[in-house]
Amino acid sequence: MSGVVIGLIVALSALRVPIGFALVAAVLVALLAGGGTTPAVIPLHLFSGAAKFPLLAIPLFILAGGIMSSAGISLRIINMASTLVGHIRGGLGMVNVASSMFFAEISGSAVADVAAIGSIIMPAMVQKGYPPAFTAGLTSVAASLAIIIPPSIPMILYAVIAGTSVTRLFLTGFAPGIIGGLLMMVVVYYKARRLGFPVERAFAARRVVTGIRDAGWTLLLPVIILGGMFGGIVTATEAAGLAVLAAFIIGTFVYREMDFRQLRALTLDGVVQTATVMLIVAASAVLGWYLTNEQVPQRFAAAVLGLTSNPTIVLLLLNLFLLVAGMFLHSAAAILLIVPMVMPLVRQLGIDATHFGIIVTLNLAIGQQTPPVASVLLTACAIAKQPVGAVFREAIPFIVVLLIVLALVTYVPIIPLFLPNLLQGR
Amino acid sequence: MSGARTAWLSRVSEWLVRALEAYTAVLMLMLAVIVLLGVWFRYVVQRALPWYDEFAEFLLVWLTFYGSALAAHRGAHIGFETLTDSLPPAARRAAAIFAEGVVLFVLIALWRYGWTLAQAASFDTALSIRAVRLSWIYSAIPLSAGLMVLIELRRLAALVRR
Repeated sequence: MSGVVIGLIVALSALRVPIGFALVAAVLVALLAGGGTTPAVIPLHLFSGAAKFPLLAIPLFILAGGIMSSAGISLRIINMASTLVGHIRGGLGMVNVASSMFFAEISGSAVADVAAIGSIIMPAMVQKGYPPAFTAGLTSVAASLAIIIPPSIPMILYAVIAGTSVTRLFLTGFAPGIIGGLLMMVVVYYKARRLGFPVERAFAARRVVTGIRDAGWTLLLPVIILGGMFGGIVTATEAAGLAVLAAFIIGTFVYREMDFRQLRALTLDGVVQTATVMLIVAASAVLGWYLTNEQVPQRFAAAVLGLTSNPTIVLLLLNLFLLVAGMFLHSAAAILLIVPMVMPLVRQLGIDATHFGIIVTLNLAIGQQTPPVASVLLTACAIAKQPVGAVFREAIPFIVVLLIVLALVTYVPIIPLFLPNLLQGR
Repeated sequence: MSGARTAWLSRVSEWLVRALEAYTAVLMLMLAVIVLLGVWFRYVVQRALPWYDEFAEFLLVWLTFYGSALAAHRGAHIGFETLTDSLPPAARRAAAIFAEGVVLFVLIALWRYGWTLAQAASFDTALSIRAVRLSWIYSAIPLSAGLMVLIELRRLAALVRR
């Protein structure tokens, strides 16, 4: 029966039934046909799947991100980054990556990052003579740093499903995010030398100071979010709440760039974004309950372990599986469907659940860039008004950077785990 | 005659959407306020709010379901569009009508069984505040499902008429 359920989910999703509804429909059909269990367990599991405290961080980070984008915060981040790396060849390209690295400390969503940073920096880059498709491709992949560097909504989803600590998983993201960002800058530099991209103004320490002073209040946001969380003062959810408050105060009272209409619109957008992700969270709890009852994850683990029990090979297979899944699934859906299935296998092989969390996150960061389902790349294309094919071709070198980081993180676990081990012990 | 009736219908649904928007926006802001209150009480008043986590979770569930109704109105629920987008127009329309049918099937089941669940829980209470019955909390599922049935019927009617 579980085979029929999975087949039904694939068929319904292919026909554009929204994923959350397809999951519930498949389990509903199985329960009605089986006749054993009352379908009233479906609303019960929908409810308990959504009622989890760490998940509250999702609407709050979405709301904080929305406020920050319309409060003039992204412009100040870009200006500050420009004083730091604008003097290098391919300056604005560097600024693009550096802005995303910085915005990543505030935002947990790559789509939010590409909208906030991209809508300002892409027109500026095109005006300076950067090819539009290259600009969109770079902006799109640089934005994926938002979910690798904490906070990160996919990491929250993973931690809730795998039952690990959100804060610990967040800490694994710094090293891969910084390595990835620097490697992207190397690619930009190489391209800039070959194609003659311009330099921004020469470096001046005085401008750096002004840039940091202008960004002043904005710089307070990562201090509140990351300091509160990693200092062990507040949970990730509470840090997200504080981020909303800080962004609101900075936006309304300090920069005075937000009015009631904007606040209303961004709150409603936040409601819709939250609900679309959370409906899949709730629905996947129903499916998870059904599959666990049918022992599917355990049987899957046994089947794979019957073939090989070598963690190196299994991790390679899991990476390939996640990369392919990321091409066809929205990142939240990919985590919610795949992680419960493979978790028993990961545990039996003795792979650290936090380590596997950063592996999953990187795979989905790549999945958001690879068509047909590529939420971030498609957003970048929509903002830049560029065709998907051309932008994807330009994005490939930067996607290769993410693949290199993924390989490093998978096979050199000390890279992601050094920081959490240092700060929190093993 | 039919023109006047559609005008009346669209006014009612316009009003419903406005109410839903105001309601979900309030849920979102309450969520932020409750989490901040929790921090405030723990660090400033130095007395933890006993109901804070439980009711914040309840709010999140309400936001999920009533927010889903708003997302349904905006056609924003996440789905896989690549295959249906590549179909010829007639087949695409047929697939869209089929998908609406599946969504309605799920919603009617959620409304029906959500109601059963809410009734079954009428003697259970929240853990932190005993006066709050779980059936009130669970009511979000059948109520939002009923609301979404109306929204999806309207979308289905628009699809069939096109």
